[in-house]
Amino acid sequence: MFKDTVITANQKKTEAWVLLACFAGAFIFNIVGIIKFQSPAIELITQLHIVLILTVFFYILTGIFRLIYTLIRKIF
Amino acid sequence: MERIINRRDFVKTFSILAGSSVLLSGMPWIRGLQAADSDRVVRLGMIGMGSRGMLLHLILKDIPNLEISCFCDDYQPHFERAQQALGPAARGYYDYRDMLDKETIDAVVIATPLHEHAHQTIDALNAGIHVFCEKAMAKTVEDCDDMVRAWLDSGKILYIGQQRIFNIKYLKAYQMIKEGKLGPITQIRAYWHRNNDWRRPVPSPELERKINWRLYNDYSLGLMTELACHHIQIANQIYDEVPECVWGTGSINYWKDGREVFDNVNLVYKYPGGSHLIYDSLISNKHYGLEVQVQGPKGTMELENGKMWEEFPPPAPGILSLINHLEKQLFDVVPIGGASWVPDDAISRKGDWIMDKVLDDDGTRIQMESFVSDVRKNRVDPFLTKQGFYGSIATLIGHEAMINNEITYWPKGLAL
Repeated sequence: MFKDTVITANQKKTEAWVLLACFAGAFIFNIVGIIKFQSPAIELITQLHIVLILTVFFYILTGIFRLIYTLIRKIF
Repeated sequence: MERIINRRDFVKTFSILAGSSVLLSGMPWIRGLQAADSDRVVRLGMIGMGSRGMLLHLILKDIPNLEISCFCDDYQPHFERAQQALGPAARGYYDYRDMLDKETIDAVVIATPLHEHAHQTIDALNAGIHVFCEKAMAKTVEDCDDMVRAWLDSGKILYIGQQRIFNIKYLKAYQMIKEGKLGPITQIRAYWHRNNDWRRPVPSPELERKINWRLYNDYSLGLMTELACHHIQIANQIYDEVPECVWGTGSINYWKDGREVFDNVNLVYKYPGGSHLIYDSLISNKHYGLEVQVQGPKGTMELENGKMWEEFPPPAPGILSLINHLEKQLFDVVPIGGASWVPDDAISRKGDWIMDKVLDDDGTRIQMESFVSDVRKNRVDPFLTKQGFYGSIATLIGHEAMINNEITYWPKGLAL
């Protein structure tokens, strides 16, 4: 019923880069928030939990877009 | 929330709160509880063994080195119930004067109907006995004044049962208010709402006024002396003033069952500097319950609830502010012509707890422990008598304002 799947080293590397990019995006988002709302710089560290939550959110979002992209490519 | 159940817990918590010198200097009446007691046994008599008297007895019986040696009540069912609760060693009397004459006691606790307070207190003080008298102090300004004169002449202790003075939640709030957390207090709103007829079952018609004394003018001033005086005392304490004047109105608009006292009252007290206490009470709707709302330009406190709201809370972290900002940009409806008027909606935040501990009662237990402790040390604290006196006078002029339908001023020259 279930068949074995293989995730290649290349795919793992791609996912790691996507995740890192999401983290970088969330971190930049925090910097923009601090500058725009003149919050204390210590929030770069104290708000890391929000940055991590945002990272997961961005990662899921990119996952959805990539899935849609893959489906479209399969159809056409 | 943790619970505080006795004097030791109270003192411990209070000592933590008293890290601020403002707290101690502003609350001298607490010092008596902080100082250690001797083992001397205090002998106490109780006058009035109705529901309040029995509640006080339940508290008093747990206080170490205290002997309730006698009691008095002229209503037979209450007399018998008290004898059973206090045991055969306690001597019972039907007339308090007999008790004062025959017994050797240090103090009395008076929990009788309001019209009895003045003469019972004055007789006890004149007999050289310390007095705890339930609120309100008395039914007339003259009686209150006579009680205070008797107290000053006697050199004895006179407590009036304003238990919120000993409620640690109120003390903490009082500290924060004095530290300026709300800014200058510009208004206090207080209310006490119930939904019942305030009647007690009467075994035979001739006992109606004896049992339901709260409903008749000869014995009580109803909602004012039985409930309002608590919140009025708190307002006096917070403003650290007595009101200049009061106006108001009251009526019987629902419980038209032969009672003489109002079933709803609405008053505005004006304090020096133009701040106000707005008070209302009714017994035909309990939706809002009871509350004291203290308001200033920096925030609001609800003392019964034990909560506080800052007018301008510290801003959220930058990242959350940015998320909220983007969310608003994406999903909020943008008015085409621009909003020229923004409605003053109520603040919907849940607020912050004033403190994370809560008393298991409203301050009555600590108040009784303080009274016994002060009796043991023969420590007279004018603040407590003053609070009871001023709270009662403000209550009485509020009643006068409603009866005469005119602005009533604080009696000239009346001060302690």
